[in-house]
Amino acid sequence: MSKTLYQGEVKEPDGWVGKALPRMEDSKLLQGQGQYVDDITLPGQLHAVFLRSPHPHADITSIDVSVAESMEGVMACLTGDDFSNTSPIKPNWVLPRAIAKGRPPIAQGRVRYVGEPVVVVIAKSEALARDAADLVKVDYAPLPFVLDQDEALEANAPRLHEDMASNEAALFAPGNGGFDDAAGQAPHRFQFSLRNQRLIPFPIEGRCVNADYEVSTGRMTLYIGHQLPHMIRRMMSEAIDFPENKLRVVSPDVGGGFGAKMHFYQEELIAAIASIKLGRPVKWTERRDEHVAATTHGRDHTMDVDVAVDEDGKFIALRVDSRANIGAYMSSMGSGIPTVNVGLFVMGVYAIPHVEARIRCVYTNTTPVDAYRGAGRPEASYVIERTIDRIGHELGLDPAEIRRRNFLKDDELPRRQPTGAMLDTGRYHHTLAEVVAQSDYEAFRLKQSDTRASGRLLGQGISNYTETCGIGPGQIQAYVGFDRGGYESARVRMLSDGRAVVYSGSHSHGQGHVTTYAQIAADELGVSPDLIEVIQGDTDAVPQGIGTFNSRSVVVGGSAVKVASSRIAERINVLAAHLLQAKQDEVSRNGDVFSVNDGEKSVTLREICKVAWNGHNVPFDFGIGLEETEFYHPKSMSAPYGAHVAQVEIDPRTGELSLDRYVAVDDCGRVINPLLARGQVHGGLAQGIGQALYEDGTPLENGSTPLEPSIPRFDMVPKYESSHTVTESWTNPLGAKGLGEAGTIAAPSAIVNAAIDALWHLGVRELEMPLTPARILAAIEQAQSSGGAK
Amino acid sequence: MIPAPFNYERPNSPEAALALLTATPDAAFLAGGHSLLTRLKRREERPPLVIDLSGTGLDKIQTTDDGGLIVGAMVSQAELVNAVSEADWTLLKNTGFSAGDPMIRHRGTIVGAMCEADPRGDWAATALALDASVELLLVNSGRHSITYADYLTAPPSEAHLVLSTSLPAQPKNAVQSYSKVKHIAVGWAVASAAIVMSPDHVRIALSGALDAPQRVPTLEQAVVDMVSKTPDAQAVKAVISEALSGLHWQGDRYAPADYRAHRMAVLLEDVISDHLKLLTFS
Repeated sequence: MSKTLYQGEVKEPDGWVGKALPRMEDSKLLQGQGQYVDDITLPGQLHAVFLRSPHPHADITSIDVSVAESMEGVMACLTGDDFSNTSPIKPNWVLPRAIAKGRPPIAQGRVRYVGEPVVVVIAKSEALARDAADLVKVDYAPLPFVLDQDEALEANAPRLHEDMASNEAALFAPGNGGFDDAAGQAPHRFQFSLRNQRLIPFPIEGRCVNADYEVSTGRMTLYIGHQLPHMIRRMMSEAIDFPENKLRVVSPDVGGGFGAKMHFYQEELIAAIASIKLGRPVKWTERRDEHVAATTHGRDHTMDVDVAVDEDGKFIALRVDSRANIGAYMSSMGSGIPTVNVGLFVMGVYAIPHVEARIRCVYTNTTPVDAYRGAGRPEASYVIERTIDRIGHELGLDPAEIRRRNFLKDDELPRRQPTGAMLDTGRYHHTLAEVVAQSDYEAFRLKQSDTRASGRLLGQGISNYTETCGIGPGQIQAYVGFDRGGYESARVRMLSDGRAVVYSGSHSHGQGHVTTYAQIAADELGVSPDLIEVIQGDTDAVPQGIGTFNSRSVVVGGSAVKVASSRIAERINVLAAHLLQAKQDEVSRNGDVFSVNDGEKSVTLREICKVAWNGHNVPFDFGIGLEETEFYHPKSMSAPYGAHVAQVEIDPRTGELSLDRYVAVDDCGRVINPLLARGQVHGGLAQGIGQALYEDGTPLENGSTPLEPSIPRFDMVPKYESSHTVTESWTNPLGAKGLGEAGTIAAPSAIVNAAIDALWHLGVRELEMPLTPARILAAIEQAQSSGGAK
Repeated sequence: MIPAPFNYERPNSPEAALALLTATPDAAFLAGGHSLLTRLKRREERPPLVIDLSGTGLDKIQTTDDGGLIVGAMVSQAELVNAVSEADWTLLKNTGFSAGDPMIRHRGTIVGAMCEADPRGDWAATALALDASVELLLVNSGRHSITYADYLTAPPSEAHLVLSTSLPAQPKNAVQSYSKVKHIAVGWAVASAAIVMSPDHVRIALSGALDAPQRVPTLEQAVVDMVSKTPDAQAVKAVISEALSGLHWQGDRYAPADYRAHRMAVLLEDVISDHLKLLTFS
């Protein structure tokens, strides 16, 4: 492993973009000086505690809050009756023709998942609210329930919403058709099933909200750890008909989100309503046991694959029939993630003449499922990357070779795949070749066969994931029912002292915007990043924006910063020429000094900035100041991709899997900061490895969620080897592609492919995630008892 | 995570602690607190009174004339591990490095872990393999010592406080070990074995997969019979299989009961074969 971050196709740049700058925000965070919502306590602060359903499905027969309500210091005990006129929370992405059943603010006579809010107690302290909640009596009449999406589709399954004809919430069927005809004549056809288990996003900071309604002004400030400050402002305003110009959302430091902090949940709605009702600030801080039950989950998607290939292993046709569990209610993006974000990408980076996908979203008595890092793309990538490996093994072709035979070629891009996915640029052969070299893939093959005689089980797996990032434009979002803008804002202001402020509508929940945006602006403005302040997360301060998801912060938000900064740079040049009484092309800049005629006359950047703002010597048509706002609206999305290799050894006696090596070569276009890029890859891989090997959020038999999630600690992941190929995107001025979700998308299929590669000769064909030792051992034993490899 | 309200006392002697318990029978003793505090925070336990033992003077490790140890109820796992020598107390050292994590070991007590005797825990099996006994202060009968094995199976019905545990000196020629398969995410044992093995004396205690940590006398006897014979992997496998077959296994989603039974057998095969070789060639 090279010690430098500049390796392969990432070279140390002359400018700031591309430099491995350490994160400028870390000093504060590492000293414990970050400020999170729970750190904010206001005068007159009240605290909310929720009483939640212990049943997956039940009618509420009675609620008695009388004792709790009479306790000194208890301000209110609110039940479903208090919210009977409040509409259920509207999902933000409703697939066309989907049946959207949003969450009621508080259960209306019936609970549909364990953890659903039933009563909220508001008191002068959290401890008091907790004690009072213990004294609330709720009686339930349990109802039959269903947790699994396949069972929920059966005709006699318990019905989640009585006015629906079935539990099917949405159907999405992309593709170009023709499967039956094409596959019917194919020489090889394989059918098998796959499952992406339910996962629980686990930010270090749980959800937290503090709603502060000011009676005298009618204004409300909503402090909330959120990925989309402006979106939550709009959604709140719509939900309670609150004037949006009197609503301020402040999202201070945010300790991770992974997709779970971009929705509109019951708790913030209730905190806001309660604050208006009581005229005092109301805070709610999530407990871990609430987090696993009440914050959205991810994945939970079962898939049947039918694939046909020719004699050479080239795709003829692919059909995917799948069922996504979306939980008891449709969460914010609950009908879009498992459909559009899966269906478009089931072809991966391959040429497949005929594709048909059918995806059904299903209501069950479980916690709502929504976006979780990768958000649909891990499921899609798992389907196609497991499928192509399966074909290779079935035909006796190396997984690397079968991929080479099916890749889209460089000159076939840009391309809109028959499923609708837009792939802008990519060099799939090249990136695979890189990872093959870096992982000593061929040497591992030799070692694998050399050690097999002694009973050792070595395996390696490849994942050639792709996704599309940087969502926009809005017109495309409208087409799929996604009620969210596809732009991002940046306001850049150069101040009198030559320093700058960047206001971004995007919002970091760990990504490092303070550093990357400063780098982008620095190159345009010609100043050092440490002279640039980045402000985000306050809707009264930053221009109308969208927020952070879909690996879009650099691609869209960063482009906005670049465009706005470049316009300021242009104004600086104009003003410099004016002050020097020269033509613009006669002025040369050297650092902070602008001069003409080899330095005969000069003016400093600071002097220019001062003049721009005092307006004493500016042309009238120049206007005042150095401030530009850009709402960057991309015309198309970018498609990052990569090639990852996992190498594993399985102990045949115990089923224990050792992930010995993980090599990631990612192509996210232009890399803004290789250090932060590496951080994104590492974090994503940890979560992808978690899905492959450890985590399982499937409800227990009684419908509750297991409290001990097996999220990986640092000692449960290998030393990563990560690098980049650089294939720039033409979809944005940075040439960037987005990277935040890459590791999460790539790792599950790479690792499961590796495990099956180790066991294929024994007769093992499929393994279900997570690959626990027990499951691996059972698969080995089952394969052996049924006669081993055929 | 806020517990239900409770009163708090920090008595300055074991007798005073026990008197408080007598006055409030549902009170809870607090030593390291790694089990109790979690249950309090989650309101799974709501004792009216928490009796903090940190002022009772039970924080000493004594060495007896014959080389044994008396470990007070407030001695942390880390203190004990740091105080003992590798040569005499390999098993304690081994256990110390695989139980919990540094934070748990620096606050958690060995006596607390023995009283808790969590089926997935580490220290109870180790104490059983070391043939530990416990000194009790009973509310009516005063001070009294019983073996830890008896304490686990038939604890006194009378209200009491465990003052300390006595660990007898181990045979000089014994091989000691603690072997553990960790539950990957939570650190508890999926299968673990604490073993003290000399040519004429074998103690094997298991944890992680059974209803409670326990010794396996049939296996101990079978292994004694094998010492000094030519090592035979098949024979070892057979006696382990025989000895484990009657035990009751428990499991979870990560490691179901049948897997734990299998994993325990594999672990025992490896470690017993190794120990037999060591004893044969020593």
